[in-house]
Amino acid sequence: MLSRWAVPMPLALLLATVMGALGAALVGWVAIRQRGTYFVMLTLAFSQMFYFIAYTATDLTGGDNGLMDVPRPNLSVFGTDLWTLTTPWQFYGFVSLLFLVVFWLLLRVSNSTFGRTLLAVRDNEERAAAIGYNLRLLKLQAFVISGAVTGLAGALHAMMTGLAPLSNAELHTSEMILIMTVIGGTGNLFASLLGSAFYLLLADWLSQLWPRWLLLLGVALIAVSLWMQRGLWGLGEMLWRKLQGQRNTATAAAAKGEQA
Amino acid sequence: MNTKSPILLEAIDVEKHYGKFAALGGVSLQVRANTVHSVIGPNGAGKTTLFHMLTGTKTVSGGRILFDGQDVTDEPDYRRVQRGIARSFQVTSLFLTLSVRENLRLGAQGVAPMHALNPWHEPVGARAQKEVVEAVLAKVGLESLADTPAGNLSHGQQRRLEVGMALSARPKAIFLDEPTSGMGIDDLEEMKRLIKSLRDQHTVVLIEHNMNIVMDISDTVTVMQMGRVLAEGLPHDIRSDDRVRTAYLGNMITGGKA
Repeated sequence: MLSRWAVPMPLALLLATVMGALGAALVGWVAIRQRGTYFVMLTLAFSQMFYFIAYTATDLTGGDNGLMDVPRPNLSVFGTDLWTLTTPWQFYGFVSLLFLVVFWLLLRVSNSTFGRTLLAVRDNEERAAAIGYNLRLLKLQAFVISGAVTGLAGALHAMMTGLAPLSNAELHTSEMILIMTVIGGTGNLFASLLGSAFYLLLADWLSQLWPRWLLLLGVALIAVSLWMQRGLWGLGEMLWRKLQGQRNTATAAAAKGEQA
Repeated sequence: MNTKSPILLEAIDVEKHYGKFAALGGVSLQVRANTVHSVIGPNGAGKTTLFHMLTGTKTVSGGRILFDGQDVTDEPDYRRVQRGIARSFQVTSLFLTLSVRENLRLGAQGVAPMHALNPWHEPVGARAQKEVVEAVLAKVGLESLADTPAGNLSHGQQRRLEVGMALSARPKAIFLDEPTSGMGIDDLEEMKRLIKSLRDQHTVVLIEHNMNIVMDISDTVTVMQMGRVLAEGLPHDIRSDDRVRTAYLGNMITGGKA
């Protein structure tokens, strides 16, 4: 949108968010009719479909080349620049601020009545339906929120690199996001943050060591799946509890010593 | 007792087929308000299937279900909750990682499920449904365990929470599917007292294998066998009914084939 119709930048970001939400609503509306493996298959099918639509609709998406020359205009209101985004650091600041805002919003969502009800649905769908919840509506709303955030992230990514390559719609990208979440731990938002930071740093470091670094990442993923299903966050929690436990036994022992 | 009270729930010729197998072959049932109505019968008689039909957990293959004067046959379970139907499960079905209090709060919130879509406000203040939750906690005797995850409770405690989940919706009719299943002797008495106390404010439909409980607290007993109603009446009439004796009471293990 920025590259074709010169829409103001905040509006373009907003539109990307809305588009993400709408897309997710469409996919969600179909996919949540099934559970488990079939649900996964449906979302995968949609992801492939979107990929090939993007590949074929060359006029709109640039096809194989993706969108080139995505501009990065300054943040301005009525012609006055509020935030120049020319240098990478300026843009970094802008994205960081947006991130903090969105992260705060998501925290709010996950602690809300809605978020708490989702936890219940994750625990036991049958019971959630039996006590009065419309599972489809709940899941659809979760889909829409996630789609909105992803839309925004995609737009910012395009502004960062100046490109919206076709590979962004590839299965590999979805997979990468999934891996970040699994490594971090699926329990909460901070865990996902930890996971993505870990993934990016590890990828950066491993790729310097060995061009076939994805292989090592695979090994790391196997390790997580086998031994730490609650991810890095779960590992951290466990270590913390052990430390606490040691301290507790230490104080208990000290108390005993005093008594004796 | 209470035989004159109005009919709250009526099933008319309810059928359920799984392929060629008829789990329910036309069951009619009238449940009067503020009574304890027990459904008994050998394993495989269709008691739980009937429950699934009445509460909307599964759809009927034929027949009609009226609740409180309304035809609810085609309504899914989550809609029937808003009409005042709540159920417990034969196999304990709780939110195991969530606290007892949160389980009950979710149960209470289920009556107005649109609140569950609120992505902004935390469930505090009026949204915490404190009064309902506290009342149910007291009723099922789990006050001291309110903040324990449901998964850490003992079996007997989980069975009581299972009943509490249904109570937290403040239903008109409460469906209990074998509330005492797997319970030890100490827990049984407590459960019996609990079910008996529900009659004042609710209508209780009960599936139960423990005859001591059924005969003691029921106003009406319906006996099912092979997907049909075999007999219905007051507990002492049922106990002395010859057909029931042959089908069930004298033959509790081998099922309904004898």
